[in-house]
Amino acid sequence: MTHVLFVAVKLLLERKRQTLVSVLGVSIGVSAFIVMSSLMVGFQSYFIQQVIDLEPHVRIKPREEQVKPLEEKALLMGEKPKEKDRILGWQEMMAKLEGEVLGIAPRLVSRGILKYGVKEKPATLLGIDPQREPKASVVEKFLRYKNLHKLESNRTGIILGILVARSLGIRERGQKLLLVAPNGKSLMVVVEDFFESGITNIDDTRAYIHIKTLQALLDRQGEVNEIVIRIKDVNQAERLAKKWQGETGYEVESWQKAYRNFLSIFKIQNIITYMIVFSILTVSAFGIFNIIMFTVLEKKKDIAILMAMGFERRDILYIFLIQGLTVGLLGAVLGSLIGFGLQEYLVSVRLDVEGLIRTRGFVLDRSPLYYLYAFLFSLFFSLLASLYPAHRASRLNPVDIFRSQ
Amino acid sequence: MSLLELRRIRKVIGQEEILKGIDLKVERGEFIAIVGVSGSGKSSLLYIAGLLDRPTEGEVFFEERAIDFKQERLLSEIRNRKMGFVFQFHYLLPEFTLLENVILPAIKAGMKKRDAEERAYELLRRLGLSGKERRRLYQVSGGEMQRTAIARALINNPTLLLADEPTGNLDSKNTERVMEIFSEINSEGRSILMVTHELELTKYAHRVVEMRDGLIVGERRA
Ligand SMILES: Nc1ncnc2c1ncn2[C@@H]1O[C@H](COP(=O)(O)OP(=O)(O)OP(=O)(O)O)[C@@H](O)[C@H]1O
Ligand SMILES: [Mg+2]
Repeated sequence: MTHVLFVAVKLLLERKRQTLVSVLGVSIGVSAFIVMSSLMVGFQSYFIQQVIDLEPHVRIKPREEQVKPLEEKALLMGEKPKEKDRILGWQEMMAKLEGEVLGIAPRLVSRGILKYGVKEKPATLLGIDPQREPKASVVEKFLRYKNLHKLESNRTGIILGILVARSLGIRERGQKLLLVAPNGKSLMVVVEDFFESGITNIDDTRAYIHIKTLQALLDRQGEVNEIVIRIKDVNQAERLAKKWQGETGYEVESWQKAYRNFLSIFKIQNIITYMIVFSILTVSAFGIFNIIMFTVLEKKKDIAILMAMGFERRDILYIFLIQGLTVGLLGAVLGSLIGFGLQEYLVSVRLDVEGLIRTRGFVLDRSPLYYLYAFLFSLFFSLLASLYPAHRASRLNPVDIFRSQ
Repeated sequence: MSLLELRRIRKVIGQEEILKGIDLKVERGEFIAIVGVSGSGKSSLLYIAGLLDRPTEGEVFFEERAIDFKQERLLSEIRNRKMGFVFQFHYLLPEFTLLENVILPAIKAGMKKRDAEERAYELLRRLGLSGKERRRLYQVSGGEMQRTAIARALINNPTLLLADEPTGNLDSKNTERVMEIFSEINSEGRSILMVTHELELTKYAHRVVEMRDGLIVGERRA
């Protein structure tokens, strides 16, 4: 192999500038892959993790089509809700499912309006059972003062999403505000805690109160319109949801289904990103292809004399493959360094990101796997790119070349 | 038996019969010159003798062994260890120094780089290139390049040197020098098969073979 390396390295070093350009090309692809993957996956898995922690993995609710627009209007007009927006026999249902799940809790969900001074804010009111709720969702983790239990002792306590509180202008707990139900009834409640998940559309709409308080306010004593469930393996959510849907006759929705819009946005985001990375890698592969092909065509004479002096076709093949692989490898190393540097920079950046999620900087998934993949990709691409020129070189006929001189 | 024997060699390319049945033996230690007009098939014969090209018909024996032209790796090995090539053009690799050019066949043969270099220094010294070992092609003359090519052909101690108009690009002084080197190589016991245009160079050979139109038409001892 020494003879092969000896020639390959010389040929590469003799074309330092072209080699460097190709190496740079590969390294851009590699660093783009690393940085974009870690940004994207970091963001997405943060989002999903928050959702999985915060939201029930599965929820049972009345069938959607059962709440007709007409009835919804009636709801707003303050009439008693029709039969449909509730789960009948929820106690039995919960008792039955209890054994299969980590936690299960009833909820009554309604809309309402929060008034504080002159400010008003529509919100989704979640009437929860403070004993059972923490087993069905990790709501406590996102509370500033961990005051979920206060809802039990103070039945007029309320927990506000941090953005709800912000738009009402409430900064501290203990503030009193007016809760207005769709039926026009209202209740003075006291802020007990703030809730911050980082997911904008949750923090901006949600308020938790005791289920009994909400039932009383809505004149819906004993009613429940949502059962939330936490399971062990979140990936089983869809399967279990389907199963329970058959068993209960109610609509059973997995978190994947509830967040399908986001998940499909992520999918599109992934596809676009990897298409971009793929095109960068393809372009750099063409760069490699170009210089190797160019070298082969330019070096025909040298290949012929190498063959005459006893180099085998395989040696010639390797000489050019090694050149391609070396470019790929150097590109991968350089790209990894650049990628690492960019990651370091990105995590050090402090800024308030306000979008789908709110964080104090970029959330990165810095898995070493991306480096591994980047290496494999760039080696694969550079091998692919040099395969054809190297093969061409190895099939040259030295006699034809000597004759054509 | 002879070092190299060609039996009834025919070479056909497309419609053209370039070699029309050649019989030629190269004995150990023999220096043969092949002469003939342009297009008579001298180079074509040399490529087959050097196992670079396969004949359409006929047999080639090297060191008593029948050559199977399908066994490319074996052909490469014979070329590498037993043969040396010198062409009209030096075919040195421009990326390499003279020394590196010379050691290439040796490291292909598996020799350690250090040993190969030692040998190359010695060869280059014998060929009058001392002190120029680390030079690149653009730093030496045409004659020096050709002598480097000869050193490269000799590095693995070949038994047969194949040369196709090795002096074709050289002036008379350099030509004479190359031919003296050839004589010296030959006197070490290596066989030489040399194609040439210049009739006066045949005086260095033991035997002169004349080709015309793909056939050997004459032969004389020098
Ligand atoms: N690829 C080819 N296809 C067809 N004919 C060819 C091919 N290569 C060589 N020839 C013909 O074969 C004949 C012999 O060529 P060759 O190169 O062996 O001659 P030569 O004696 O070495 O000539 P020169 O002294 O000019 O080098 C020539 O007539 C040439 O035109
Ligand atoms: Mg010729």
